[in-house]
Amino acid sequence: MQFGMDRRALLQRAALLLGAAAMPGGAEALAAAISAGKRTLDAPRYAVLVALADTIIPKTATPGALDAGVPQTVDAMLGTWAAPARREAILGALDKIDALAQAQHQRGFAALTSAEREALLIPHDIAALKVAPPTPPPAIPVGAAPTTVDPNVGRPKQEPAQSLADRMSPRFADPGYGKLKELIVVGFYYSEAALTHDLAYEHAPGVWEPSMPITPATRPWGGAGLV
Amino acid sequence: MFDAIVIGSGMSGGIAAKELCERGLKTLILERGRKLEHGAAYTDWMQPWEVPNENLIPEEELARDYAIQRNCYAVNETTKQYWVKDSEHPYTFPADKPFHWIRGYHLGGRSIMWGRQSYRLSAMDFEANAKDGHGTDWPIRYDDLAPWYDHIEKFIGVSGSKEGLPQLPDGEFLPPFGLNDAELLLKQAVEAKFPGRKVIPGRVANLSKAEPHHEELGRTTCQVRSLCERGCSYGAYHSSLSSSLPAAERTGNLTIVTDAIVHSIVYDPKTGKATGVRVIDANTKQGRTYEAKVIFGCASAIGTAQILLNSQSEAMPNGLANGSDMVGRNVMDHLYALSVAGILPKGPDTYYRGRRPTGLYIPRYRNVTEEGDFLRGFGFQGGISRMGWRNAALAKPGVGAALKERTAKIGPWMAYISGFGEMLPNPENRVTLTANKDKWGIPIVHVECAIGENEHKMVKQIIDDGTAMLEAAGAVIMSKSSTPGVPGLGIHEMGTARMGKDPRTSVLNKYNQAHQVPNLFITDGSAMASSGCQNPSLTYMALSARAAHHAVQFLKEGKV
Repeated sequence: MQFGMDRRALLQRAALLLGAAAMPGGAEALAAAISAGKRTLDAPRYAVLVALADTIIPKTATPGALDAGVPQTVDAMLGTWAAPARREAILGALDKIDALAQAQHQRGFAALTSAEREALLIPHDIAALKVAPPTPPPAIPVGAAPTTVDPNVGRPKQEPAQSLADRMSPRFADPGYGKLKELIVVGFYYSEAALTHDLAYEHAPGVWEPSMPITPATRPWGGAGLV
Repeated sequence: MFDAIVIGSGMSGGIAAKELCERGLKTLILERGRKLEHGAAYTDWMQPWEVPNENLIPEEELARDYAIQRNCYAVNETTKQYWVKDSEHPYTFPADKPFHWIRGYHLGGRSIMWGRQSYRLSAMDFEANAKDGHGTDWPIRYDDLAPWYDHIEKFIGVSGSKEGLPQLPDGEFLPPFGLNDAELLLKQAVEAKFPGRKVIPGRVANLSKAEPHHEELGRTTCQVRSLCERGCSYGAYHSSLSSSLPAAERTGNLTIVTDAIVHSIVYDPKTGKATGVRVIDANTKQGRTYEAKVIFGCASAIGTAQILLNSQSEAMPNGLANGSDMVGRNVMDHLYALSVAGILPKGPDTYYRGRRPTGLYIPRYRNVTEEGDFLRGFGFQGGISRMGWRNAALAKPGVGAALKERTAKIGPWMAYISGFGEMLPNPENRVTLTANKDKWGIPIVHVECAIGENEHKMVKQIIDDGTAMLEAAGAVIMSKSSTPGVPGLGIHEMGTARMGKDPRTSVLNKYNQAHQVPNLFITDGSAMASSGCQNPSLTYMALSARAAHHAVQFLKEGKV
């Protein structure tokens, strides 16, 4: 892929995000997010993804995942990034959440109120992210040097979670859910909305200030390069 | 006919070309990869929300094309254009001895993605082989290279602090990127508890303050973005594209040819000299030959060995300049990926601003001010920073407003230091040619390289010392990585055409000139007779500039 060519695509995506950010809150936002655009996921599963993203990162005093266009990002990545096995695992995670809702409420996850969704997801999240008990130590595949940090930068580097970090990351009880949650969370904290409200980001700080006082208004730095 | 041909446009080739051009030589630089435009080709403009796929390379593409490169910390969606597709550029290694060859084929080579840490070797490093008998004695000493270190540091711009340490000589530094408050705490604790050890700002080839001679080349002061591996549109770190090639081009003496894969160097047994370079066009696969009076090999340690071994002739059946049988042998990297990390529960109540393009450095002290039960030594690179949003959000379960709330809090200080250890030269660690050829008809290389007993002893000391130093600063240790990285992953591979005094046991003399071929100079990592524990690029550049100076002198004197 040529990055020069990509700028246009990114501008288009930015326009989409702006559209998403302009949407009203609450149930209308959910409905609007579900209905818009061309999708990788089928409509019922996309509805679960939207509801899940909204539950993991809801709109509070600051924008949430829907404001930041996270469902669109994750849906697109299932087409542009995920290998078939990964896609299957993530679809399975969505289906499992929807089945839980059906079992508990006789309604799909997307049809629950935000309070019902959160009450369902909190225990499911804990169970799905249980780290599998250590079995015999896994054979280290050729090339799996246990490096997850960038010594040249002199501090832990935010690493794309797929290669080394993937092999290092805990083996969750539900790996599909673990990855799905990560895509939602990272998609959100990479977004302009999150980097304007929840975190702070300067693309070109211009100076290195090695010591800065912390005030109640100080927000953590976001962007690449932080664990 | 050119005066000089430089094979390779990376860290060493860029400097060699600049120095030759500035001395009036009509110079051709040959690059096997594609042309890359400074600025236009870079991805540093991408805001976090503009990065495709959350900076993840599509999984199938990653598995298919980047089976080896994916192990490098700097490989991601924004930088993948700079790394070779392993699927297109095969090499082999024994199943039980993996070697990771991390590389990029484009104008500028790895100078685009390098880690930029810049440290001099010291007097003790140039004396080490003679002292303990490993490898062969360097034919130069620190004083021979010191003025060339000055010259390179001034040209490329290295930020750092003067410390007066004999094992890590000071240089011509721009202002340092200072330590943050937590790192100052570590510095005080370590220097108080372990006299002789120092915690200093990492010396890095980023312009903390651009000087007029940098600005003349279009380079400006570092914006403290730490997006360096994407390429820097400000030209704030030294690379061939931002710095050495523009300097070479403004002389009017430089010709750049890209997509030209060097097959071999042509040798004339009548004159005893190299007459030119045979290349294969990367796209058409047609062969052609360029001629010159002097040739500089700067294709990287493995690339240069491949070219020399493939330059066989009746007069030199083992490959060019390989009468010693040392071409391809003595591959060294640095011990890598040996790290200790911990939280500082009582760290200072402050923060920092900017993404500093370096960290802290702990210069070697074993077998300097403190003994070791091994030869040579190691240094540490690292840093202490506030743990960020990814960890806060994902390290434990949780959803909703609670997750957002905890992620918006300033994280605890996390300290991290990683040892880089010296690897002894061992002739059995080597690059050879296989019978198989790549799609350009060039024999594929086989790399065999493993760490030895001395290195294994060092590993234990690195972890023990790293733990003790972080604990001295009050850290609660969270992780220790005591499995050395696969050789090659340090991306400091070197030693395959070593310098030495004796043509029977070395390939190059004290001017980086091949003992057997007087108009052939090799100034990339191949030339290294030992590895030190310092990041080596600065030394390659200093050797390149020095060799260019002597090559031009020899040309003028009619000696080559």
